[in-house]
Amino acid sequence: MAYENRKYVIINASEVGTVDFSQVNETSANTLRYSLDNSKTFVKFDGDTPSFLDGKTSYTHSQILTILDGEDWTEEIE
Amino acid sequence: MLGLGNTLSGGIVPAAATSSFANEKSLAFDGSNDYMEADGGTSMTLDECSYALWIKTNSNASQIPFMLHNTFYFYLTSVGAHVYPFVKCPFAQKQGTIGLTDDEWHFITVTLAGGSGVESTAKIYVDGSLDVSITATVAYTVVTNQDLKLARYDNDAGSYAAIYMNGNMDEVAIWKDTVLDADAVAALYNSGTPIDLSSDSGNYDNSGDLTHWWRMGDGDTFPSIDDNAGSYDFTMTNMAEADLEDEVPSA
Repeated sequence: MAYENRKYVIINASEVGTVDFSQVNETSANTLRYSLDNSKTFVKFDGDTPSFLDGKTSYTHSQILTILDGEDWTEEIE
Repeated sequence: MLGLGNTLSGGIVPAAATSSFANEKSLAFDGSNDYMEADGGTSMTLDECSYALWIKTNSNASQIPFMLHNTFYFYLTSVGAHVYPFVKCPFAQKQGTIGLTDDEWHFITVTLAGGSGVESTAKIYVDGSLDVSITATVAYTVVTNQDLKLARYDNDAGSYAAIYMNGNMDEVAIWKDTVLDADAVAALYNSGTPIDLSSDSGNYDNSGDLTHWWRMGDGDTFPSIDDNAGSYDFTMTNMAEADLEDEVPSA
């Protein structure tokens, strides 16, 4: 699938309470993916940037996958 | 379904078979945090069984399409430019030999035969043909009452290794307590076009053993993905309605 209109924004874990889940694709605070040290998470949306994310850096699909493939976010399981 | 019909003269003749099977949707997972899990309180026990799914990916990053437990999953392991199928079960683990990072649909079937303390065999079939097989005799604890997840790795402790699926999945099925034989697997592959798993067809004679079958979009309403053979319904998690795609395997 092409994700031309999908954007991803990394936020601090302490900011989760400010997320309006009706404006992002994430289901709830309980389903967020956190960095391995639990200090960061991210949300994603299609189309316009939700106002509560104004001023934050957004990433494309390929950019976020590169970030998430790093050791801060992923560990191999074998 | 076959039924009986009346003729104008009042005699009874077999009604023409009608085919209601159509495959027009699959689910796209973006590799970041998309996954599916069952509604609360639902769990699954698997030991001897078969499971199958269609997958399509253009990513060479490790991915996890199917995970019941950290001793029971189907994984795509990253090696160079490709991901390769990898099965883990309580008695063995084995990597396949066929690279799958080609943005084409592939049909994966895993069969697990045997049980704790007896000779057991795990097989990975790719596109209807046997890729690898491993046999072992190991005493183990059967994986019971676990929360099956599609597209996300999740371990016992509730934390996770942050492995997801980056690609499409379609027609996911489980035959509990049933080991599909090679000719049934080939029939399911059907040269690259999924078949109706609820009906026997050719050498596929296990429709009566089908335990779970998720069509991955066909007949589903976002965010629910219904189990068409059992009652293990999934919820699309961290996903959008647009992730129900008109992208399906076809010969």
